[in-house]
Amino acid sequence: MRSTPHHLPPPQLFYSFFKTLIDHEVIVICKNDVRIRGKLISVDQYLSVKLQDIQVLNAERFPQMQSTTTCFIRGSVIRYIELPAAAVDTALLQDAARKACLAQA
Amino acid sequence: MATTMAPSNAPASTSLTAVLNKPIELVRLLLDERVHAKMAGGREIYGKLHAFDQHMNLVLEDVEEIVTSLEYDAATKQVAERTETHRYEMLFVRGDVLVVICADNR
Repeated sequence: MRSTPHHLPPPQLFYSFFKTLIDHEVIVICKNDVRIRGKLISVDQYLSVKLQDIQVLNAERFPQMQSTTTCFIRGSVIRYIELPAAAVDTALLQDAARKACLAQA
Repeated sequence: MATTMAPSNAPASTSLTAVLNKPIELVRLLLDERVHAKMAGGREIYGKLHAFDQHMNLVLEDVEEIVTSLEYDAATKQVAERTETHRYEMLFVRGDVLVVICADNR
């Protein structure tokens, strides 16, 4: 048996990363092509997100979402998340990614 | 297993297999470099790699996404390839759709 069970991931790099982006505006691009812009309220270990004050950017294709203001998006349906570049510390990210890789190797 | 498949007479400093025990180590070498990623669904991404994890979630900067799709033209009865390009300043890419990642060799 491994000391850490396989289904329990190690402390997640991207989970911590997204927590630093809380209260910033992001654009979530889902696998079904819905593009939702909103303020990041919270994130969990599956990288599911809760967004507030949302706006569907391609509302002509997805009019059913127009009256929604707050939503939860399951992590597995997310394809991309467009981030505010000014809020991302790239040097810190690279360092953390390198350390995480070496720790698991 | 600490043993590697590298031949024992290979100098450690020049033998790639001695440094790269696991496939993910190659991705580590791509940090801070421009990379080319192919995704499921005919999507290709070029960008500078800032972060990755064991799921192949990525954070890329200065991203160009090229989406290739096939379209049937009923008038000519031909199938034509159509490409769309999108640009993003900073992008998180979820790892479950990633197929291949390598250095940008354009």
